Amino acid sequence: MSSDKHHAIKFLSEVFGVDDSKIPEDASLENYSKWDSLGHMRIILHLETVLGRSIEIEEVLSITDLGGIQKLLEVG
Amino acid sequence: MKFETKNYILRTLTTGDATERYLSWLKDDDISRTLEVDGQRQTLETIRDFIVKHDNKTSFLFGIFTKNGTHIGTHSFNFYPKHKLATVGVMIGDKSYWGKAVPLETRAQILNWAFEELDCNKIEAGCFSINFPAIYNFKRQHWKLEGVRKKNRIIDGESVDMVLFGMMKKDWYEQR
Repeated sequence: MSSDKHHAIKFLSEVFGVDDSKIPEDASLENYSKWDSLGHMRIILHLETVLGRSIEIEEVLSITDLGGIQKLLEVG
Repeated sequence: MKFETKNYILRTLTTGDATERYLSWLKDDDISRTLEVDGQRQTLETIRDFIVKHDNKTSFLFGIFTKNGTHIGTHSFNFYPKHKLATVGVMIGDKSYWGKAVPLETRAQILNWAFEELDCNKIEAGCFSINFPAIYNFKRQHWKLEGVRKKNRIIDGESVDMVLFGMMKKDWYEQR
């Protein structure tokens, strides 16, 4: 597992209730079947819970792949 | 006007499509909170009025139907021929079809028609910032972000933004 995406992979595994190993390292809304429109909503709502704040629209628009999630988790 | 996609049928609505089922969608806060409509003020008559306002020349209201004829949502479409521009908006009223990519499949047909038959250069659309599934669909379909109108509405006591997207003909042709 690529360390720079570890937190994002862990995060997605929590959202979708699957083992970390089931999350592809290149998971994005383009290629990961669980990441559909409702999955997208669950991702953002869970991010708001984890970060303890509302997510600005510019941040919402950046959530398209693991990298976008990782960046938000790091920024906090 | 009628189109068929892999899983759905799109056809322009008539007053006969103003049903209690349609009305129930507008009265459902989960649905109407992200629409430009006061759902609680809607009646069968206001729906009929809304339908007949569409002239089916430059203004269209397409119903989204399953192949067995169940009405599950709508696409509004307004065409500005002078500017080769159109706007679109979608509502999936039947919640059992949420998360099933209905907007992606059906809007693709509308984009094809708008660019090929109406010779539009560009289609515009938008959604409120709290409508995460809609934002997903725009991103998934590679619409370009054109801007954000900050604090455009107050919904459930909170200011929300309007997010504006655009699809150029050349970009649509390159991706499809």
